[in-house]
Amino acid sequence: MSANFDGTSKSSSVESKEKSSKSFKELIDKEEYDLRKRLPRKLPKRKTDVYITRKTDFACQLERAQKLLDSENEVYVHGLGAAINRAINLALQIQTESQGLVEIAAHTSTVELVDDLEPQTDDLEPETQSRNNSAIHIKVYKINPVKVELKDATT
Amino acid sequence: MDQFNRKRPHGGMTKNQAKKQKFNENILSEAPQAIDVIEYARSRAAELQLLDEATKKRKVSQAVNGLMSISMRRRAMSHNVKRMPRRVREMVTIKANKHKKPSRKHRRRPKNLLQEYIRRQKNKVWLETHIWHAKRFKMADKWGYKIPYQPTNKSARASYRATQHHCQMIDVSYLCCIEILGKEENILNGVSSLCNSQTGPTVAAKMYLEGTREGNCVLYKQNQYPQGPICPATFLWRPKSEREPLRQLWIWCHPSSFEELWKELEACMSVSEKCEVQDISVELSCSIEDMRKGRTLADIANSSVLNNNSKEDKMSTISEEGPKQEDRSKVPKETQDKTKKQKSKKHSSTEKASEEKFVKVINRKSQIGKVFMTSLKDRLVRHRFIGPESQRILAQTLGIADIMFNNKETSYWWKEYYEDKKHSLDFNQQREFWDGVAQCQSAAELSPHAVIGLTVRDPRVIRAMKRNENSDMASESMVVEGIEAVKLMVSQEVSNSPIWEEEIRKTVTSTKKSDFEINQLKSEHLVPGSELMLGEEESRIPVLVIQNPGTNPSAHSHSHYGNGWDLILPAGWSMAFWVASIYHGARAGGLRELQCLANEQQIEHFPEDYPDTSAGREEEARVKSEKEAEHSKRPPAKRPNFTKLDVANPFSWAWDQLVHCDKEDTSGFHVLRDRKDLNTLRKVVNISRGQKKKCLKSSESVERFAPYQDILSRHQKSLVFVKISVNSKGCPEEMGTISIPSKEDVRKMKADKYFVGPLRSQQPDPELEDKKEKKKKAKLLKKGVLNLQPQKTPENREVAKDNVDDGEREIIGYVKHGGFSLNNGHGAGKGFCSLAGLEKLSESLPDERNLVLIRNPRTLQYRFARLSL
Repeated sequence: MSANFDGTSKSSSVESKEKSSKSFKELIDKEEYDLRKRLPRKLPKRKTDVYITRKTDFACQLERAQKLLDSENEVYVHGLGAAINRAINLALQIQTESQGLVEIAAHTSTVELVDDLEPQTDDLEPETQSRNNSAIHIKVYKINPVKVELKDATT
Repeated sequence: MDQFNRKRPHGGMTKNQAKKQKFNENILSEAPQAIDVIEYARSRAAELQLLDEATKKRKVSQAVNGLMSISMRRRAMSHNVKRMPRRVREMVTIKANKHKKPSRKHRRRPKNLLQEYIRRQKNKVWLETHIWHAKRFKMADKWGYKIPYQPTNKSARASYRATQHHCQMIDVSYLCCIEILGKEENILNGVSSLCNSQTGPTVAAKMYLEGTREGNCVLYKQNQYPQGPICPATFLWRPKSEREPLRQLWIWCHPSSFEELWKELEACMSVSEKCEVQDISVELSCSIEDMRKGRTLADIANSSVLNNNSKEDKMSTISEEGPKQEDRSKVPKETQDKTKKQKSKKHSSTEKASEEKFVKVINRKSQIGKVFMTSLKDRLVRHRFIGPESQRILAQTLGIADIMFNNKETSYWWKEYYEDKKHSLDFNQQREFWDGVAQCQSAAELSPHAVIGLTVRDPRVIRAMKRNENSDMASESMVVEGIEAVKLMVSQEVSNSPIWEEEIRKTVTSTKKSDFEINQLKSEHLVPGSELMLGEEESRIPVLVIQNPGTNPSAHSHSHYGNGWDLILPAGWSMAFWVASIYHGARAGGLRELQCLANEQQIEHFPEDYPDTSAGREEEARVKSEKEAEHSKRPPAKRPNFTKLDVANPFSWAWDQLVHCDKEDTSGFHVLRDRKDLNTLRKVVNISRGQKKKCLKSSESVERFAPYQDILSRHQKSLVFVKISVNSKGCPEEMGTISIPSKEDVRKMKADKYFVGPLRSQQPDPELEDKKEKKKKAKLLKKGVLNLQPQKTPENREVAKDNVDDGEREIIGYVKHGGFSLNNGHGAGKGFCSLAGLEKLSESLPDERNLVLIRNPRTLQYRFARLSL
């Protein structure tokens, strides 16, 4: 599949690798390029996913997650980059408020992000720059005491 | 008396009665024994008829109701015109030969309805989706078009939600496209005099020349930068191909400035080519019979040109490339002759239809040296999709067509086009790319302004699935594959599309199966509801899909708001794709939604936010007259007194006064669009809270003011576009003033958290006071008391003035549009400040360089707000 995207596209990506991120910063500072961050790739959103952002009020996001957890058995809290702290904070708060009825399980990943560099002058080619950022995915789930008891009885 | 007595039943009789009876008997004997009814009626027929007429016939029309208030009604007004007030008498009297409106049933017959539609389109253009919109939208009569303004069933907030969480679809087919055909250097020579590289990348920019990105820039009158902007335009180059030495450029502009741009383009081309402009427009006349078939003007223009051209163009394709250019110039002239001939033939063959039945269509074209300019106004359809869902909806609506074929017996445009190996290879790349794109969750994940060419199936054949949760949940394993493809940039092969070829566009339009035919086929289909399998007969439509990245993420705003896609289609296909997208869950919007989007994004929207263009000035004049009319409608006590409120221009924006306060020369202002200068200004003005402390530490005032002097020297009379966000409660409003806060205000604000802003003192209205005094005098005179009052009033005024601190706060700008921003959750707006004013602002408050006071025209209350560029 990627073979079809040879030519201009691949060469530009090679170039972008050659240029370190530092040189791009210089270019941006010189006002030759304008930085435009693309949206990180999202998986199709399930009902139980909560993506944490720093731009929405924390209490609001907490409430949303809490409400979801009331109707569902588990909620996935995702945080990317600077929002990781928030995601952890949110998951922990849900846990403490539940008085031991909720457990959390976290795992981390790396997300590849793409930035577009838009030239500000006529004679420059557009560039892309890819970088990695860390992400956290926290599964917040109920431990159902009723089910556990039943299981115990059967065994 | 006698008659009464006669009727009375006989009882016991007195003497008197007996006498009377005798008398009565005498009379009765004299009376006729029977009445001849017929004769009786005949003799009174005239009277009866008069009576009948008087009751049936109205002398006064029923339209009275709307014309007069209820309190003005009088008895029997409908019978005697003279009981009406004289001014309405003429309007109300029923004329003898007034044409009666035919019944609705008659009017709604297909034949009559179409005739009515054609009549209504005579002086304005309808979009192809007009009838769909007219049923659900308020329509605005603007720029020669009937444009859907706002849906009647949705509020602005619902539309905001659609753009934020779902998909808003807007028909922007009224945007006009100008095609320029010629050698690259020839085109660039001409067009580059209209744009300036200081405003950012221009038409000649390397990244746009490949044709994989749509660019946008502000076009200026020839070499007049920074004065004389015409309009912002988006433009798109056709990807290069080895075979064609000529290149095509599409410039999309707003209809309000189309004429101006066209003339300017012609002029600049003729300068660069050193050649006269040759007008080779083709004028066509189409009979109304043609239009009855449910086609728009544009379709007819396309198809009729096609009919004439088809033979000749085949000839020209046979001839080699060299003489092709000459051919091209010849063709239109010949067609002109031919159309005339055809017209005459039509006249003779059909029963010499009257000339009124012909509708004129102009195929506008001009030739300047080796460059051809064609107006593609109303020849292309453009739908705008905004919002995260637009991705899903487009992926479902645009099913990639099958272009494989075994036999070449029947001729279709796509068979001819894709016979070429290169084209079919391109097609495969496009299909794979689109598969990757379709798996994205949002358009903002792709490279900005990317152009993807596609050839898609007839959307009427594909049935929209009922939306349920299962269909929303795509399997995750599918997602991973497409990632690589999407991350890369779009290549030229992916961007190329047969839609660039005029012939193909026309064929696609003319060979479209009508809705009736498709429905007929569907009804004959064995399994109702399943997909129609038309095989080769199904139309293949070339389309262009252009990405729109939305707002650039910054510290303040929600990122990527307003991202989505633009879909460009050949004429005639608008309705099919529109309805299909609606079925897939898109929500329709109109012009208001476009404006709202721009307001939420706090970006300029043409023509409102371009006060230095002629279209912008027109818009401002319109707003002014509208506001004035609204104001003057109300009685003085029910409208704000702008003298008391001390608002000099309550209905318009006084940009001219802003720019040259004291100087006497009155040359026009312009808006600062120089990218570098704006960036330096941004560094000075935009300070976020984190940066403030840094700034305070390194307060090098000299360095800060240096850029102002530099920019001011170059752009003396310039306005700067600013975004306003209010600190506390309150929203900025149209025509509000932006002024510099005094030091006292800032001190108060810092001391008191809840201090919203100072209050302006009410100004005296001498006119009103004179009136009041006169009234008083009249009253006193009436009572017989002589007027011996000492004149105290002026002293009182002075005392009042001393109490309120009212330093004149200098106005540095005006609010162009404002309101509550749903995106930010507080009042926000956009406006223009004079550059000199901004300098003064940062001089007076070096620490708070973006803190301003805003006052709406209807209040005395100033409110604090922050500016950003």
